[in-house]
Amino acid sequence: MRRALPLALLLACAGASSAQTLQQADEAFAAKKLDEAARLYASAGERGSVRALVGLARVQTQRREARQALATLGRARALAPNSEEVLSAYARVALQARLPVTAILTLEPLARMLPATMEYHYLLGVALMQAGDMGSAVLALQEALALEPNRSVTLVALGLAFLSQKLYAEAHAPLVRSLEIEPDNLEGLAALAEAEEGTGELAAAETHAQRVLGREPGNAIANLVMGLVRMKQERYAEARRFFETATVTDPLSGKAHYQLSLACARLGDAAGQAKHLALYQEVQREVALRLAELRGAPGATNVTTP
Amino acid sequence: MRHAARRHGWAALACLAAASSSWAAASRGPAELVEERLAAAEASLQAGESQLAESHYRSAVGEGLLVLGSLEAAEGRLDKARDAFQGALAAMADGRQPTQHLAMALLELGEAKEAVTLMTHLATRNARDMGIRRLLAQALILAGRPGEALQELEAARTVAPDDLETLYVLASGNLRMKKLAAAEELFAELARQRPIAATHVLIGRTWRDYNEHARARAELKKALALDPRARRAHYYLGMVAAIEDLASLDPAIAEFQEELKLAPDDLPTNLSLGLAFVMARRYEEAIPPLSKAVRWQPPQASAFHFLGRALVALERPAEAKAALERALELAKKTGREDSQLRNIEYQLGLALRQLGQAEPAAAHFAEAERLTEKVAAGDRESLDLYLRDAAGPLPVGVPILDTSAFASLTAEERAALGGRVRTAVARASFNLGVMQAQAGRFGQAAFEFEKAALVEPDFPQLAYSLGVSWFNAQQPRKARQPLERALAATPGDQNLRRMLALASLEADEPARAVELLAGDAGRDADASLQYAYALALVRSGRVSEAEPVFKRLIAQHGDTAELHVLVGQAHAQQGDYPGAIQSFERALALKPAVADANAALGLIYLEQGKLEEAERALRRELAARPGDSGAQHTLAAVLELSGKLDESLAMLRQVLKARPDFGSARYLFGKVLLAQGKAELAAEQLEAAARIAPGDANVHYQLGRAYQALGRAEAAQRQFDVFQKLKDERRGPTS
Repeated sequence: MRRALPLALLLACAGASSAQTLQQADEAFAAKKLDEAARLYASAGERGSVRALVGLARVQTQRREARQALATLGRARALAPNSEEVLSAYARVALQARLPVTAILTLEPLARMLPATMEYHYLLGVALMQAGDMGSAVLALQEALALEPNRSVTLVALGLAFLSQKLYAEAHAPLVRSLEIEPDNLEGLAALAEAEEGTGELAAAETHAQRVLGREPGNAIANLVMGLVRMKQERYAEARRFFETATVTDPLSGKAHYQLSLACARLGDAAGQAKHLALYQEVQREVALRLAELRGAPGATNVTTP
Repeated sequence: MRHAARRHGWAALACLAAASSSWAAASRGPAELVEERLAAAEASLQAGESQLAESHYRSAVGEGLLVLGSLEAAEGRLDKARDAFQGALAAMADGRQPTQHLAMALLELGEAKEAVTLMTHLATRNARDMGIRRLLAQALILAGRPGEALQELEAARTVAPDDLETLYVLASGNLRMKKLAAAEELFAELARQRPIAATHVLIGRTWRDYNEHARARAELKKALALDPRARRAHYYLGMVAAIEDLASLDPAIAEFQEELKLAPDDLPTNLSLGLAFVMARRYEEAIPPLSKAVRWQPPQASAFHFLGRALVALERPAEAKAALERALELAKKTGREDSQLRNIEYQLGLALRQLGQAEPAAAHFAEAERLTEKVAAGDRESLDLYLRDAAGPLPVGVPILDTSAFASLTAEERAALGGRVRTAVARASFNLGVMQAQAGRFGQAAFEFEKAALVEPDFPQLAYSLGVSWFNAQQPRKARQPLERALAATPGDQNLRRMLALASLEADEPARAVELLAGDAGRDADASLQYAYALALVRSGRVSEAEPVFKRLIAQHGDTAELHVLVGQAHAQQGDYPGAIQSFERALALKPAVADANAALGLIYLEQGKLEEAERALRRELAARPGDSGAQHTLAAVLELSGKLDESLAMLRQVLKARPDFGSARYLFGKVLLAQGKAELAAEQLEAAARIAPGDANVHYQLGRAYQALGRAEAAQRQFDVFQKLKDERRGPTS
């Protein structure tokens, strides 16, 4: 303990000198004087203040400078590797910057260290979904639901994670529950329609998908479901229109691209078929790369059909 | 189980040992390092750096629990070691070290499957860490999945082809799987990459471990050709000779003697030479090497056993007795009932008989006889068996917890170290809990306090803090036990007693609440406390005792606004609206912002059809408590009846945002939408309401109307049928 005293004194002195700077920085941030806040936080951050670095990252996030914010928070992490606030800020910025693997590697320890905090399990689930690791996403989302069972967004996310694995029957229960809690949640209703389509309940799927499209004509999932229903009814031209709308709204929907290529094939449109098959493969490669990154290995894996 | 792990282990994990005892490399001791983390945390707090403080506290907890786990493992308490490592894993963001410790503890406890799960995840996230991947392979082997282990090692080798430890482990794995050609090729590669005598000794020793004696001999000879003074080459050649040359132990003895020329005090070689001399009945010659071998730390049963045997043969019974008693003590610690234990008992019997102690001698002979029946027929005494046991750990480390940093400490020193670290961990966890509680996160605070309780249950203020956290986290059942402990420590703490009483009441333990509040001298001065007492009496079935408490309550606190609210609610429950209104109005006159009075008045006015008065009362309640969803819902109902549909919907949106499962609010929302002609939206809300409250006839009626409006006649009829059925059920059977 005696050895630590000089450190304590140093920190106390540093605290006294930087406290004023930090207060001024907080005030500048509150007054939306971002340049001044950034300068003051950076100055205190240079003296080893983690609080200042977190403040600086907050300014950078507001300025939509995600990469800089991550770098700043990386410095904060080096100083305070076990701080919840630092880790949490790092994960959020990574998620906003569409860097799911970076987010996952930060959210996993957070969920482990703070198991009673629902949010970290939920965010981990979302990040895992972004990275394409749906199996792990299901587990994380189930943890989140165990802590807060009636959270509609978590239920919808869980349903979507099941759907991504073609587990349509499993998706049904959380999606129905989400609609009990929030009946006008279009994302949940569209996902329920997809689950129904998957289990062969085409009439229900069409009713629900149409209900969504009545209010949000561009909804990617509802268009996908309508396309799938029309494909089964061999109404390929209509199916193609629905799939095209789905891919416009969500260009990263591999399933929509794949189905669109099939619809084009049925309609004798070889160019369209080739184009959308290529787009589908590109999406798959992107997911495979993220998974490989998550597993610490370089290179993509094989592309499979959905 | 530790022994089993040693015997089956083949993975090389030297790097892990280094990682597990980082403090051993530092000049300071482990307790000092943990205490320094604590000091740094406290200094950071003083400097206003709460993030840094939290991080240091967590490091103190994590690193401290790693020390405690290792101490527990050193004492053989592997289950406690596992718990400590789990705690360490939950404390630190970097989970590599605690996960590996935890996996090793699990392996030693025989829980290989769990270890595989942990290590698979860790290896997935750290594909370039060869130590982690080798430990995963080890776990796979122990889980009975050797094929996957080899696959893992082969994949690891593609990531780091120059990692010699992985190459060695892969070769050994092939050997284990009897893939001799593959093993030979990989060992050759190893020798090419590191062409020194020690490499050939290692390879020779590994061939010998898997009974490939000719290959072992060839490798060991290569080592001596490269360096005639190569350590352990003669030693392992002696081992091989002891097994192969059945006719005579002389070649083995000669090899051991050659080894001792290079290292006269080498304890394993002295032990092996001593064993060989005893087996060859050269007892006088056995005494000097065995007298050295008994100095081995940790002490080996074999050394004392064979020293005792030699001394018995030389008719030096007193010395033999001492050695054999120590051998017996050490052998019993292993828990194995094998041929060695049987032989020690027998030899001890002989020594005692030589000393003329017939009775104790007979007891040992009897025990030896009992063991003869137990020992498996194949478990015959052989030099090889003893030599293998005496050989010690595998050359480049096996997946056992590295407790070497503590091995040299006495039991008292270990206890003192453990005590110091425990206190530091408890203090750090306690402070983390306080930080969480200050942030209003009582559930997480309780989690941190629980960690402190795990290592030091009697830490000052811990039970109190834990109880208060659970209480504030609205977990009265979990709060009760720590609050009971805290009260036992400070029975005079009145606030604590009251909190425990309230927790007991909420946790359906009204009798305990009555007991705690019965003698509370301050109860009469606190209306809510007296009310709680009365309620506890009622819930305990002591209604007659509750009545005078209520009367006293009124007599003593008649003029407090809160009490008038309680009395008003009692009147309302009995349907006495004029009496209730009088009490609520009195309460509001005394304290205009008193909780619940206006809400209750609003409800009464609504039931009486006085919509304007109801709206005014409810708006007053919401002005004081804007988040009261009960009052919001009542107001929405009043607004709907008053024809103010948009306002009603706005209010209901707020209610449902806060309480999505509020069935009545959901129903009303759907009903208002329907009244506005928005049938599809109404159907959604009413469908949800029907799922929440399927037995509510009104919901089905409104849903039927919504379907009617949507032109879905069949669905509408089904809902009307349900409505009718529920109505009939409520009316009861008619005759």
